[in-house]
Amino acid sequence: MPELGRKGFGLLSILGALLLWELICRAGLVNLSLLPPPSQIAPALWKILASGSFLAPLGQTLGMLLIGYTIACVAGVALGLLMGCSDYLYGLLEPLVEVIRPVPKPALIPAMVVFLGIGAGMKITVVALAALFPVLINTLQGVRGVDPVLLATARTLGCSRLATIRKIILPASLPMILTGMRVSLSMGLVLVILAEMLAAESGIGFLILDLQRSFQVRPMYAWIAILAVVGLLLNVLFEMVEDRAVPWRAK
Amino acid sequence: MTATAGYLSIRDVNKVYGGQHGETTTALKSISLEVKQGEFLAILGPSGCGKSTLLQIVAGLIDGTAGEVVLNGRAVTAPPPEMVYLFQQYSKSLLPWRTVEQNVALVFESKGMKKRDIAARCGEYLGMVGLAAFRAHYPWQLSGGMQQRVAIARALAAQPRVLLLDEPFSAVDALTRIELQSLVLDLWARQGLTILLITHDVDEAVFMADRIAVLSARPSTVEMVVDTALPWPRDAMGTRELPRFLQLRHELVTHLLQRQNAGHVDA
Repeated sequence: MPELGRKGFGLLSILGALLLWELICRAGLVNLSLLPPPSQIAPALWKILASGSFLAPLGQTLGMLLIGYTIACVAGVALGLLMGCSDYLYGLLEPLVEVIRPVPKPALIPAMVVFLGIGAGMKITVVALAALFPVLINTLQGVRGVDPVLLATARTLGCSRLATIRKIILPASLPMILTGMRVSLSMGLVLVILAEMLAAESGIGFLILDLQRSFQVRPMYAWIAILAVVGLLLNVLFEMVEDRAVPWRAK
Repeated sequence: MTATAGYLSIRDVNKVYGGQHGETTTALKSISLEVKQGEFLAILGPSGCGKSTLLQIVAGLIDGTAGEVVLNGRAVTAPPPEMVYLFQQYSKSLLPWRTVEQNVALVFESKGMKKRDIAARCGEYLGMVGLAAFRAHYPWQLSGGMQQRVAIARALAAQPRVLLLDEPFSAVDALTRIELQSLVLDLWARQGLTILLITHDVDEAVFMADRIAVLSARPSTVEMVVDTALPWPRDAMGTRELPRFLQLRHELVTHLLQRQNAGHVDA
């Protein structure tokens, strides 16, 4: 109950912010057609939710995110493991990684559009590229950080190299891998929305920009609210997976 | 114990570490020891004298700079299957994502055994260390002494002929240490193992070993090898009250203290 109480207490700050927003609007301090109060956005939000018209754009955006993210996770873990376990591959690939990693991934969207167009392929590629590096870097650090005692124990107990990677190195790096995946998930969400805004004709990002351009301000804000909840839910979902996957981390 | 000469030979082992600026540190200098099959040899030395380095060279985990280790007629260049190294840091050598039983099972999995057989064998070895009831627990749910028991069970499950113990009891409380010492002596006698024990604890070396090799501070050399000449089986209380035990402990502690003070003057 105290846990619930604390979360309930935290809700107060959100309610307070909404209340302040409402008051500022009602006091006439802002142009209501540019920034409507929450009380006017709520009906627009309700309309979107009740009509079910949120399903298609949401599915579109989450679909792109999920595919790109999955590719990034698989590739990131595989590359991180290979680089972490082989000095040869590390020496070969590390400079390449360090050159591509600092590029702000949104800068790649125009280039991707040039040769991938504005369809699913472009969006998936952009998400995958952005989400790849946190997973890759964290996996690499996780692998390199495995305790030497653990590795020596595997050797003295006669584990083969492959068994050591699969049964010792991979699970030992899992907490770090998951940390990378968590960062990647939020980056992926940012990038899929951005890609939809810059070059797409569907998805939530496209919709928000389209509503803004056609001056439908209230539904625009409603969609931003939906995105906030989506981001929050993804994070909560991830935490649940994390707690189940690495129960020993708390210790 | 039936002891055979020349079972495990440590011949002229040196270990020199190179620093970043060309300077070198000699950790081990011409270490030679002969260990008989079935013998319990304690290697006693001050902290930081390179005892663990020596034991890891014996285990084939790291390479010496010079010299060789020969087990049963074969030079050790990689960890031999009949030799298992038990680390002091049980909390780092156990896999926290595996249960106690699964930790022991690690040894059998690489041998392609059937699942049911593995469970039975794990139960057998956990029984030996008194942990049969804790097979479904995770290591981090157990006390330090119990975790080290799991590590011991896992080491035995690998069916070694030689067990290398690297200060295995120094991280547990005094009473648990006494319990674990007796447990290891019991297993040593029952399994017919050869044991090399690294320790800085004079009491432990005298209580457990057939012979004690005393190492000097860096660069480490073998200063002397003494026969404990205490009767078997050892008793946690009785052995420690024997005149021979007290005399030997007195001699060794005096020797180590003299060495330490001499070292301080040198420095």
